[in-house]
Amino acid sequence: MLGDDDIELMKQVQQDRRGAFDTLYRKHASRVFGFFLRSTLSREESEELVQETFFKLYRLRAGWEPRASFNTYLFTVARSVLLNNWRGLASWRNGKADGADVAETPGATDTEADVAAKTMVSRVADALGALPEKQRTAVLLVRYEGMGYEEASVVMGVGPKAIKSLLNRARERLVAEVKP
Amino acid sequence: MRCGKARENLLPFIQEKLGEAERNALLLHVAACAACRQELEGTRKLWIEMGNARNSVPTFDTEAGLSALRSRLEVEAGDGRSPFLDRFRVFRPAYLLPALGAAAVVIAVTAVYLQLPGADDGPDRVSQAESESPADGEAAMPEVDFVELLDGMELFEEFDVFQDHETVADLTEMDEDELDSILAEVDG
Repeated sequence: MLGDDDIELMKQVQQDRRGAFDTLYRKHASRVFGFFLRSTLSREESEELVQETFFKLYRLRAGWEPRASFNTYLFTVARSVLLNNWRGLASWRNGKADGADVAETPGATDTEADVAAKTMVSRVADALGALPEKQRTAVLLVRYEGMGYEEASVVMGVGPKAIKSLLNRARERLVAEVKP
Repeated sequence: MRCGKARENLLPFIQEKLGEAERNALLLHVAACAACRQELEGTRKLWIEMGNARNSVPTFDTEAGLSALRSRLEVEAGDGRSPFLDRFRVFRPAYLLPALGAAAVVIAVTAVYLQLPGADDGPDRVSQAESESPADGEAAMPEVDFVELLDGMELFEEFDVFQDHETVADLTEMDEDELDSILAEVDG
């Protein structure tokens, strides 16, 4: 299970074992980066947010208790960092960001199918980026992070029914946006 | 099943989260409703595309990120600041030193102002007189001055002396014996 080893590692982090913290970082930083990148559509901001998340995780280590899985805790901290990050929010509002950082740019050697696939990834990324924050986060947690409705509801501080509703509203908008 | 309910259940259906009864009801509805069938196909395609996109995030330089984070944590651990105090910006030297300097200037200016001649005019004089010892009060306000002051007031020319007596006693909260002796001096 994803969480068991991580809970052991987190207990070691509480005892100031730096090696355990490094292991947690190596294991999860890329996923957290993906979550931020799909949220902000900005690589630079996402890198800063990853640092902020793990910095906060380290500083809050003394108060951590293994009540939920480490994954749930990690993404709860990550979302809190995201919401507190005014630059990220400002970039969505100003429409500065686009999906270019999220999807790989089609190359000269790509086949027609590769180009179509990368173009679709970019369209999905753009459509996700245009969703309201709650809808987007619900999609990211459930579809991209593989969380169940219960776990996503803990991260977002809402009930599982609200997650279902957010997903349905996001689905309606995304289907309309991504439709060929 | 109505279209609204059917569409709420499209994602749970694709995720295989529906119970058997709801699943069958949705399948029956979709078989009969072209719009919901189209919506189901669109949702299924979207779900697959998002699954493909999940693996297409550009790589993150984990080691560089970890190195930068270690440096930050070492700075944090090395500067000896209390994490609790660090939450309050006012305790940081950049804020604290100018604030202390400004407070010192305000205190110095106030102290100088209070030392200036005439700076204690106005209402403060009353409180200052009240705070002085009785002996000091007598020295600062000799009885003769007070008698002359009373003598020049219309109060004694226009009204009955006994009413005035009571009024002045009330106004000044002066001891009546003391006022009697002053009035005797005025009369005499």
